[in-house]
Amino acid sequence: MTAYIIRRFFHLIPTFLGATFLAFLIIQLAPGDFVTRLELDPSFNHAQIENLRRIYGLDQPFTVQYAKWLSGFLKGYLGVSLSYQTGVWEVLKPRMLNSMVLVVLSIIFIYSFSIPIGIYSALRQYSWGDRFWTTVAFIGMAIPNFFFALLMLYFALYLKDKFGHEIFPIGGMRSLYIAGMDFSAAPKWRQWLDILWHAVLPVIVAGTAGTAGLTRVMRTQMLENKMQDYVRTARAKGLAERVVVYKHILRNAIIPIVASIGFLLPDLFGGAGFVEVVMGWPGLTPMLLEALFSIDVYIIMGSISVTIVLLMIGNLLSDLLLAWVDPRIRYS
Amino acid sequence: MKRSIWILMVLALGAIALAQPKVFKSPNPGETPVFGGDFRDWSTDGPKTFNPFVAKETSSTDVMDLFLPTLTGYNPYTLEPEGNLAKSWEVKNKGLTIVFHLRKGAKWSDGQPITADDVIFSAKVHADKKVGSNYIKSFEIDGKPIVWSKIDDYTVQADFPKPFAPALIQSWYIVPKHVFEKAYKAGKVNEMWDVGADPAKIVSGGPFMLDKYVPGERVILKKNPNFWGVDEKGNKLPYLNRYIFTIVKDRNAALAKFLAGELDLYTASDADQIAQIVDRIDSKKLDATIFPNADVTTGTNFIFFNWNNKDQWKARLFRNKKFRVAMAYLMDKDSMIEIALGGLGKPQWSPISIPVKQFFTDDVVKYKYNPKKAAALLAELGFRKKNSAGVLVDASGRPLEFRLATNQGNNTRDKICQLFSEDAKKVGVNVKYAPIAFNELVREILNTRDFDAILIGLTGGIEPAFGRNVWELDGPLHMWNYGPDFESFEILIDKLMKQGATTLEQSKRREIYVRFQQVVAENLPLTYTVAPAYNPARLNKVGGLFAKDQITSIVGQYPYVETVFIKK
Amino acid sequence: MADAETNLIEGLSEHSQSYWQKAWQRFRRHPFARWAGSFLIILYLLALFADFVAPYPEAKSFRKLQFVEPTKVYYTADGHLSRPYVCKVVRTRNKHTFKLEFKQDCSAHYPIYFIVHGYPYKFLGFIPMDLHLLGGPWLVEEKAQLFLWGTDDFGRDLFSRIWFGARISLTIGILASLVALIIGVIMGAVSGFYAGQKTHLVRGVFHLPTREEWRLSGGAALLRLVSGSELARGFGEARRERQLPLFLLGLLVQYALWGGGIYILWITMQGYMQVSKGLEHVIAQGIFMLLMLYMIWQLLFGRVQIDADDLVMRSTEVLAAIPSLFLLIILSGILAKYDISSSMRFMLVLIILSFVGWGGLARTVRSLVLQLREMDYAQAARALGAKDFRVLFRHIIPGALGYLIVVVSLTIPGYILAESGLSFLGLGIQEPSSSWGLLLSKAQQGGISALRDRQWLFIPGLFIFASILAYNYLGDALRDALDPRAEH
Repeated sequence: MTAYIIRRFFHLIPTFLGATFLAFLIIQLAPGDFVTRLELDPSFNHAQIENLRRIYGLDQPFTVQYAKWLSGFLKGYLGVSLSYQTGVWEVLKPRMLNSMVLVVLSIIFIYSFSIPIGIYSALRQYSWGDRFWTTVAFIGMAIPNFFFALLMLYFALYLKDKFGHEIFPIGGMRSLYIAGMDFSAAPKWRQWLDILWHAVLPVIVAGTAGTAGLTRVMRTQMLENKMQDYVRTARAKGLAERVVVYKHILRNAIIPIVASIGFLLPDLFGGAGFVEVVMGWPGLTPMLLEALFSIDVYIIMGSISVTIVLLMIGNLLSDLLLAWVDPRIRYS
Repeated sequence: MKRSIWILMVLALGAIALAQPKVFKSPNPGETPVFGGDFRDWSTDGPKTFNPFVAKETSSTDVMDLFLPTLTGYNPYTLEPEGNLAKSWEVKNKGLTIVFHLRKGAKWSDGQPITADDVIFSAKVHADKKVGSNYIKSFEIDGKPIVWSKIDDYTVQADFPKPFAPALIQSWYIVPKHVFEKAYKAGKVNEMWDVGADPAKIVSGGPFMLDKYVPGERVILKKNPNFWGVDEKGNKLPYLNRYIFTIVKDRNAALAKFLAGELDLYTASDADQIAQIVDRIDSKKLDATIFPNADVTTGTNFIFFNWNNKDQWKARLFRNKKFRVAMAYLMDKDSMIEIALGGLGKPQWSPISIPVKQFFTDDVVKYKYNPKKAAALLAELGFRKKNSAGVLVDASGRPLEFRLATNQGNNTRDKICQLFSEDAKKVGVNVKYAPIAFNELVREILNTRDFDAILIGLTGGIEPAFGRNVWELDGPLHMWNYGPDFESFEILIDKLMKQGATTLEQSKRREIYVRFQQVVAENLPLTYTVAPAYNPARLNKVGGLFAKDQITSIVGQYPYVETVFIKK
Repeated sequence: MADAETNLIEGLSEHSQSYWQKAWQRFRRHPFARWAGSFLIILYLLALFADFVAPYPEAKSFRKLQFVEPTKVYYTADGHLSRPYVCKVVRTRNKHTFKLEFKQDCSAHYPIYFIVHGYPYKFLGFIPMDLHLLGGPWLVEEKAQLFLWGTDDFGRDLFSRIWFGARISLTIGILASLVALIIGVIMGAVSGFYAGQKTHLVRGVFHLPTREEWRLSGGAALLRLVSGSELARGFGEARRERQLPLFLLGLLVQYALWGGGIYILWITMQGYMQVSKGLEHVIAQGIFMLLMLYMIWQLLFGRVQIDADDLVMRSTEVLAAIPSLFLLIILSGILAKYDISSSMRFMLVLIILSFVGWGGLARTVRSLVLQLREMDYAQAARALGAKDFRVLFRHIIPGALGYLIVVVSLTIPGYILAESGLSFLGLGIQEPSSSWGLLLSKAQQGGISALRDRQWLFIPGLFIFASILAYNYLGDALRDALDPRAEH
């Protein structure tokens, strides 16, 4: 097992180098750099622009820039953001934590809805209940995330008009005041409660599509296992239907879903997508968009490399989880 | 009641103890200001740094404005130079030397006095090429440095290499030397005061000081007890307890927040947004006021052609004034306002933005939308027949077509381009419009020069002399023509710009810039399009704001943040 | 041998017939899927005949009529049933509320005719026609307007634009997933088929003498090496095997590859050495030197051999590791520099989308191929001497066909959504062309105003929604029907 982990780890190195180099190359292929947008500012002259390029090291060949970035990374240092002029990690960290709140909650949302629904749908295949939940799941998959978020924002405003006070907040992550007190002066549990309250609508938006997808996976898994020989054997032994379903079918059907938890790892740190932009959640996505449009190379590379590392760890974790839950799998 | 009188008296005494405070004039003498309260502003992006030597964008400088002092700035009522940290100044040596006298008794928030050392140190760092400050441009004229020197603890002197009209506007940020010096000597000045810095360690010399920054969410500034400003009654300013920026990336979300009463000010971007706000005010759900179309903004959008086009036929065509006038006749500015600007705005004819009243003139040639005149002018140029595709052709049969580009993702520009190309096609000019990435646009303009026509905007300021990079013949942004062949009117513009920048007398300057606007509007090196309306809205509980007729898009809704207050 | 093959094919077709029949039976158990299928077919037909269905051309705009609400159609005049007609609408903006107001002027009635002459267009791109489903002479003369679903911010008829937009939105999903599928299938199939085998691309210029040769005569081996006769030996070998062009090409590739590599490394080293100092400098120098030596060694004695499976899987890993948002934005930035027409832009969006999406498909196909190549019929075909590619594309891929159909039908909705996401970022299709994503993103920009006062702007959203729903139903039913593992 240990040998397997080590071997996997060494396999990751070329992938990491390839992905980061490719990302760096693609950024270079894009027209212009971080300083380009200043060139159309009438108050700058050419020498000043070139001076900035030199200060930021953007005048060097890109392989040199990559080598510098890589050596920094190996020393555990993600570089200096061009626009923030501070360590990339300091910029990314608070955003990642914010995104994580949203992502963790939506993962809980996804799992706690999709697994029961998936089981139900599979057990009563082609019933009206199954069709109903299938339709709900598909509706969730069919709404563009950004549009759903706008609807929710409007919904919050509508509720406020209807009831005269805020049922749900209109965007954002934290209130300015909690019960008349400044946010930071309020007790910790109230702060968390406030964040949870803000997260309700974004979590619904961010979680819906995922719930739909996972419901379908769960249903298919259940259906596949239902037809297996061992189930027939279990039934033939005269086991109660309840035991057959929950002890045999469910246990096997859930294996790939447990295993896929590892894949969630990069998602945890990857931001929740457009919902953050539209609903004003201060997560990673708005900042990444900004960095992408202003070509802040090191912020982009920082977030990509963190994602890659997590993705690789996540894959490894998934394999290990799979081996743990499924005794049939052996690693030689 | 009694207690508040006591507090006022104590405050007044404190104000007297300040030696030379700046007196901030409030916009409405009738209002009784209230101390305390939070002011809730918003911005689309958060600050990227609190270090003025690093800041590159307004999202950062908007915050710095509140806690870092400058020597001088514009008076919000008259738009003339006004002292901030500088109490007064003397212009000597035919404008080549200016001596600034600083306010005695002004202090940083940590209690240290603000002295000439701070000013000279800040100037040195801003001008240092290794630092890369955005304000380096304020420290050189034509590559020659402006020399700053200390006379005594409260007097500094600036020596200019040549007379410079906007010399009195010294709006670069001054930082505390005792905080920055060590880092500067170690070559690490750019690492100071980043967004992760402890707010308590960020020293303020302005009305507010940093209290808290929650990345991506909000910036909270609190009152600086050591601020060196007072109101007309001698009360220590600012009135507000806190100034809060909420960061809202999406305009719709910001509007929703204003409609819900969670923001104190908002600027509606178009008629639809105004309608939402008006609707809410009328139905008594929001106690607010909006001033639709109070002014127009200073941003400009213009089309220009590439006179250095590698295709000689096109280069000759673009150089021809008749062609450019014909194109101007094809710009349906009313439709542009209705469709591209969402209903409100003004047509623009000349390079100086309409709100810049001290220089702007309406007395220029206007080539108003008139496709018939355009067709007639094109016929004079030899485009009389149309080919099978309906495109005008010249005698040799070459169709009249060119590319038009603007930057991707800008809705207003995209729509202006679409309207123009639609109208042009109607008279037989095949305008092939495609938006391209912004950086690619910059590359085409500055390096490859393989474009035909481009629609773009430059950020407009108050001071026309800062536009010299665009208008002088060797300016790096003389985008339509990099020479060597210049038209006579370009040489005239060049002369006017140089005169304008070195003339110190205001009335003469106005004459020069009026002439400049007329020449540009007539010859159309840049063809201006439309300027969006400025539609400010506010909650009625905010005091210290301009009345309707005082509002300008340059200054905004209030003259000084120091005198803004929240009514109880 | 020919006999054996026909038998094999017959055997296959026999199996597949019953398989497809069974599949159809299973498919029929999904009533929603049948409706969804018919719905999609209707949508595609409407998109194909968009010119005919739409009363107005795609880019036709009425400057004074932006955001006009859907035109009311009347069925009665003076209390009697009459041919449906519309009235002229005048649009004004209220000076106080800033809201748009519409006044109907019913002094004249404009009857709607069916299948009537209107704006000319070219059917299918080349047949000149002017027949339209709805309209009347007044429509072309612009005496009154027929905006069944209102107008957008340019005063363009939304009803017409939805059908034109359907062309892009509906085909982009299919085409993008097909392109992704083709790349994915080729990559996945090659990868799965050659898993565990290495392919020699370049056999190397110089061969290092083996230990055996050293032992026999070290001097002779060294002489051969430095005199270049090794090269001649490789040359001769290649000529014997009739692979001379390949050998020469390989030679070129090898020199270009490693030569270029060394050059880039050299520049990098130069630049890097200037900025590093201390211990880091020493270590970096060491690493650079080692790399350089390795590359020179490869240049001289290297053999480029590729494990196709490894290469493909690595690339999919690399692709999966790079966030797709990043790829989408940067790629559209790179591609938006060229002077491109709207149809080209459509192609670009398509290519970007499928470039980002093929990795997952390749992995699926690979695992499928890995299973199938061990199946008896594939082994049999190979035993009969069929060539690799023949086995792959005649025997293995058809076995996976059902599964591939399922995968495609389930990826299409994702691409339709991705197109609207690109439009949300302002990087998708550009006006005056139309796509559902673009139309919806414009409604989104209208924000609260649009939600309150102009709900018709969100009709394109309904279409996105409905078509994705339909595809999901269809895909779901197809999976039940076609998945060979599903035995129920």
